[in-house]
Amino acid sequence: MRIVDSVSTEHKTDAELIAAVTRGDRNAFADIVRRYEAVVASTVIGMLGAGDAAEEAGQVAMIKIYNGLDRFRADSSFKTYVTRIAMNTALDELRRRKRFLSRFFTRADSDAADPIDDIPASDNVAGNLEQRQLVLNALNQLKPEFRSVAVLRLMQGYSTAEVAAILNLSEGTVFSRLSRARQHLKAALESEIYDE
Amino acid sequence: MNNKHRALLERYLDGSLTPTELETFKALRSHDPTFDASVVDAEALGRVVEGSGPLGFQPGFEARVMARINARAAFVSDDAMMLLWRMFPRVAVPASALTVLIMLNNYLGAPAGASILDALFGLPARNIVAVLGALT
Repeated sequence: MRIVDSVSTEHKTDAELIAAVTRGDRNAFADIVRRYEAVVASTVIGMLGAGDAAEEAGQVAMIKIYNGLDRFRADSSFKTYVTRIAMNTALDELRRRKRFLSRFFTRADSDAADPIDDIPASDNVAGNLEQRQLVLNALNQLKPEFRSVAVLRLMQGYSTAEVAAILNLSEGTVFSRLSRARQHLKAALESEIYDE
Repeated sequence: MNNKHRALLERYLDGSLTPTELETFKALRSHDPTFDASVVDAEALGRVVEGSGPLGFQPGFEARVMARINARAAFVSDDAMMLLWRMFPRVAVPASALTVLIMLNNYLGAPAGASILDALFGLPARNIVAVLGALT
């Protein structure tokens, strides 16, 4: 019975799953979590690095999505909505870290990039772990306003218009932040880029 | 690179250039080596980032999220309880201090011979006795 349920919900559209959750079917939300786990992971790990903070931010983002589903108005795609919540949660965490650090360190110290955890050895996703760590380290050197556009555009493949909508910025601002982010990333990943 | 070139490059990478804009883009690449180098760098960087593979949580993420959501749902008045729990230390300490001050004030102003409880609560002993007598 349970298997039949899970098979049937896999073919449901986002709108059908959202409607089911707002009617009180929490199991339908499990399908939403499965469907958008990768989107949330790319956003929060790209912003915070792999580790416990990203896991916590990912869970908090999913809970926020669950609590706010009845307010989702479908004026943007659900994927964009999910990404926006995940990004805002990650930015909140970065602000919290900065506030915490500013209590104990000088301004120069607290503005410096945060150390990020190594990607766990048991990480189950495909790809070049070493290269991924280099990319995450390079992203971590960027200030959050540049990191956010780089994560959305370069890692998640959103168009500049979508990035502007998610971050509530003008397209011109996204163009200029992307350009700056690319310069920094190019410098940080020079060996990777030219070893290709 | 000026803003117009920057926008052209980004929209090229988006794949959203119109045929006319694409012609402009190609012409610019062939005449401006700096712009051409920027395009090559941007494409190479894109490949490196894409080649680093998708990012993911440790297995079981969905179960961990659902466990938290189910736990919250089971605790119906979670938000109200959390509010009370957070408020308690802020209210309890000043309230206790105020109570001690009032009791001390009552005690110091109590008539001689009053029992300690009557003195602390600021009530004349005869009233307490009268109430207890009426009840019994």
